[in-house]
Amino acid sequence: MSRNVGVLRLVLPIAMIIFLWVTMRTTYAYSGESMTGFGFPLSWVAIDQSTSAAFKVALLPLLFDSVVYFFSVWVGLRLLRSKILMVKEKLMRGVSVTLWLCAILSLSASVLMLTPNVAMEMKSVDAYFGANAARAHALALGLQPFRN
Amino acid sequence: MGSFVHKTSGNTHIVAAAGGIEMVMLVRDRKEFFTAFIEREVAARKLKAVINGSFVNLGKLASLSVVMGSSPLDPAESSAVGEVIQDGHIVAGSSSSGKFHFSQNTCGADRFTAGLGDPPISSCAAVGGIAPIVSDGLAYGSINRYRSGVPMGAPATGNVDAKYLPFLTQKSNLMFSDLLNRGASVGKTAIGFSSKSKALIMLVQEDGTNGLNANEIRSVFVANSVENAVFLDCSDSATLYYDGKFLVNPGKNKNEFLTIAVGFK
Repeated sequence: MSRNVGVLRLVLPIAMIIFLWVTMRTTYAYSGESMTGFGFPLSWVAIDQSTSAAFKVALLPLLFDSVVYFFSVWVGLRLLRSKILMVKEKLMRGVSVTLWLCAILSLSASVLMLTPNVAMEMKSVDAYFGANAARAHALALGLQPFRN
Repeated sequence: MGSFVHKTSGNTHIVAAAGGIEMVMLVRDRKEFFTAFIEREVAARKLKAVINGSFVNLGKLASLSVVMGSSPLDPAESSAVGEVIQDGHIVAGSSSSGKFHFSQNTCGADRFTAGLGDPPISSCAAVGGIAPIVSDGLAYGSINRYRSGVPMGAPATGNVDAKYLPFLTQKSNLMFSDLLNRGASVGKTAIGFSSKSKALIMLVQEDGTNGLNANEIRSVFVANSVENAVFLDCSDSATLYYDGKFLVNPGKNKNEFLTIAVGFK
């Protein structure tokens, strides 16, 4: 933590935690049908309507969102760099370990909830609606994946 | 009691029934595996065939419990999607008006219907919150299809204005589309009724086997003059109990939390 904010130490675990706990709910509605997708800025996960307790995950939006979260956190911490550098090394180590524990626990729980029945797609979870759907956005706080 | 016939086509089980069929909605009300629940209900009600029914929603903790544990979930920890009706009473689930239902309107009468919205409350037995295959003769799919001569501007998905309706041959549906996207190897449970032959037809394919995709399942129903058919909960929820034994078992996780089944005798 001597010269920069520490990608491994802070940026990665903070980005993972925010990615998994703070996102955008987008409700797509078109002509009597609707679905809800989650992700920011792109929806990367939605409920799969072919069976109970299933999700569909779009890989490219997932990758894009991950990169956006990572760089946002990196830029944010760069702006706070002078304050971060004032924190004692011992305390910083404790903060980093705690952040990594939270990140790994969150990721594990999310993956466990997603994997039993997931349909992978490449480009989008909302392809059915095309460009015609009305979109309503809202903040979604909580561990992904959401069910409504 | 109806007369039942079972056959297989590849990995798809086909059960046909006719003549005084009675549909019975089964709701798991205790902590037991879905398969154990079905066996118990079969014995108590003398059922010939049972398939899985409604979709079920789980909370986050219940999801984790199912994935990490191996014991059945208390039915109170899950909720059925769509209304489940028995003898004119809602016995499980909640309104799911944007989805479809399948119902037997009069007990013991060979007439079953599928339609948009919640099932009629007066139904003898009905299940809601499900996906259409054919409704009143109109086929469903991932996009709207029209016969030639349709005016310009007909929508590719969604509701269709009155001026395009005479040309509509297939109506789009999101649930159908999601199932179609999962391909031929995903499990399927479908049921339909032909008023022409007075036959109830159930198609059940075990998850992970090479079978028919959603379009091909629809083709089977259409070829058998079925005017009303629906998909129930698919993938590894697919379950078929017939004539004293399970021909298709649900997946391990689904066996822990599914709560609704549809029985026939």
